[in-house]
Amino acid sequence: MKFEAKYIFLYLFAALALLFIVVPVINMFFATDLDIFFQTARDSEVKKSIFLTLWVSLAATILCAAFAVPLAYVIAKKSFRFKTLLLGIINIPIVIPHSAAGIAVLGLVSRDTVIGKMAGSVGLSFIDSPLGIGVAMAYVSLPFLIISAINGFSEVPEKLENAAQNLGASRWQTFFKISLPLAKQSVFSGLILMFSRGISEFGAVIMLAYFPTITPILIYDRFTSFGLTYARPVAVIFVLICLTVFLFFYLLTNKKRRD
Amino acid sequence: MIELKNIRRKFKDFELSDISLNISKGEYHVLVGPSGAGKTLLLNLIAGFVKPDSGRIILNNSDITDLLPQNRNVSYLFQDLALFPHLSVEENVAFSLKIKKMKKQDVSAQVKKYLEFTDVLHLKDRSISKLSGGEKQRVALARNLITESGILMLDEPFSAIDTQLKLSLKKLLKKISDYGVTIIHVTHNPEEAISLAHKITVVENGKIISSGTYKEVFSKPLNMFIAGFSGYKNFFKVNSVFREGDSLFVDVVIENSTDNSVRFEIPNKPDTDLNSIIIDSSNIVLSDNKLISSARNSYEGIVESVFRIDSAYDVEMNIGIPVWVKLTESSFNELGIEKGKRMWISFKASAVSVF
Repeated sequence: MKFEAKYIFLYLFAALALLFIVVPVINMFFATDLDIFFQTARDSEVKKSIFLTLWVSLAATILCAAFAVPLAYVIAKKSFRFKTLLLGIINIPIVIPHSAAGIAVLGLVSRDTVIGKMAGSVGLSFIDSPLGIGVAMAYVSLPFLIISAINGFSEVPEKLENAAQNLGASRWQTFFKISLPLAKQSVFSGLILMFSRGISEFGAVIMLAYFPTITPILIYDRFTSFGLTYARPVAVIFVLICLTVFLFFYLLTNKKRRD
Repeated sequence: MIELKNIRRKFKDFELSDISLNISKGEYHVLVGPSGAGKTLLLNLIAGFVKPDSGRIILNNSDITDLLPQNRNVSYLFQDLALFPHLSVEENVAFSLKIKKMKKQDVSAQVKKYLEFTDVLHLKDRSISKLSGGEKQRVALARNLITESGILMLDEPFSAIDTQLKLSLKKLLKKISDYGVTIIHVTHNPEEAISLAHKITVVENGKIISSGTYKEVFSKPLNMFIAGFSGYKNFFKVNSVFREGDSLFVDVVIENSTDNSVRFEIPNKPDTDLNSIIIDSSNIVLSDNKLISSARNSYEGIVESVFRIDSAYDVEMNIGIPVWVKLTESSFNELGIEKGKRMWISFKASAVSVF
């Protein structure tokens, strides 16, 4: 890219935006005391919390995909009344404050509700449990998967699906052999987005489960109990893990694209 | 083999109405008509992607009107071919057999057979994106033929390939037809398919205008579209007919227009239904002044446009309606014809063919 003087203000503003994103993270890394960092990395509470955060978000993403992907397919392929309204509804968890989302979910699954009682009767609870954490994570992150999958399915030409049916494929076979493989890039991106959004969730999860502690809550907990010096290493470790996971998936998606 | 009975399908701004058609086994049937006439819609109805509002579709004596597309066993080559981009050539061709859970070695044998038949076996392992237009067409044909449905529907198969490849595709289609496959070929340009066609059906505005052999359809053109393909440029609709003594006159207009009617004298015939007339453009005389001759029709007009075609000229004269006159190069040069010049056309009543 050639540098052009007339765009100097454009570059300046662009650089400011970029710095705004990068500087706090870099500063956090450099401000971390190395001794405390290694000490924190060995802390079993931290390790447990990171593991919990990752597996609950992964489980929530995979479980939700089973329902979200078919929903996205129907929305992308069928025309029906109130489709725009439905798309708006799907976006609700993104536009409302996440603590409010947590309150909304809590109102539905707390122990004295029908769902809460039903879960209780089979020995499950949504409160202070991985189940509750997963539900809260899923509620706020599901729209990312659905919207990405809708975009993917919309781009699969109807002609290809018709051709498959003309060649004898049932609707299910057409979905699994044509539509889904052609939309997999977007579905996969949606899964990564949902998973990433899930592991970083704080507001909704804290309403349902302070314990077991997911890492975003642990960072908050360390901050309020011990201050910035002790909260920062946890944050740094978690950010490193998030970035590694993101980079891994990013490379995987791009490899698929190249293939 | 395939029969359409009184098919009707209404859309917001288009209607397919009273479509009845019989296509016999092994027939090469060309559905021709201008763009937007409803030809592709007919294929979609047969394939089951569109349901008719009324009417029945019969295939091999069984009613398939309510069957799902996957249960119809009617092979359809889409205009844009619809090859699956994420599958290789071999996987594309094998698709229908794998769906049927055919044994692996049988699938390979069949794929080989049909890729050989369409002359693209060497491309077996290629990805679809690495194929040329002509290669894609052959792979798509192999993918359709492997179903052995005995009926192949082609939607504008010549539209995506260049002139050189058209001839080889034509040969391939002839070969497929010679094997006894029933073919329904949709095109807006009958020239490309006329040499292959056993029967032709002309569709316009959602209706069948004419159907039969080439001779039946094109020797008596029913509209401008058909007349145009028979080489006739002066095709006019008859608005009214009247007699004056021994002479017979018609007021004619150009198709789909009611203004600017012009009166021609035509051959005197007993009363019959007169729908349209054709004036052969080589039987019209063009002159600077009105001719005193035996020609019963003389009109003054303005040269509207001039086209050179090989060593002859087509001159469009505006006499209230456009009339085309065919001239040799020497006549054209002698008359000093140019756009906007006022000239006279004359032709005998007998130069007019009536339908």
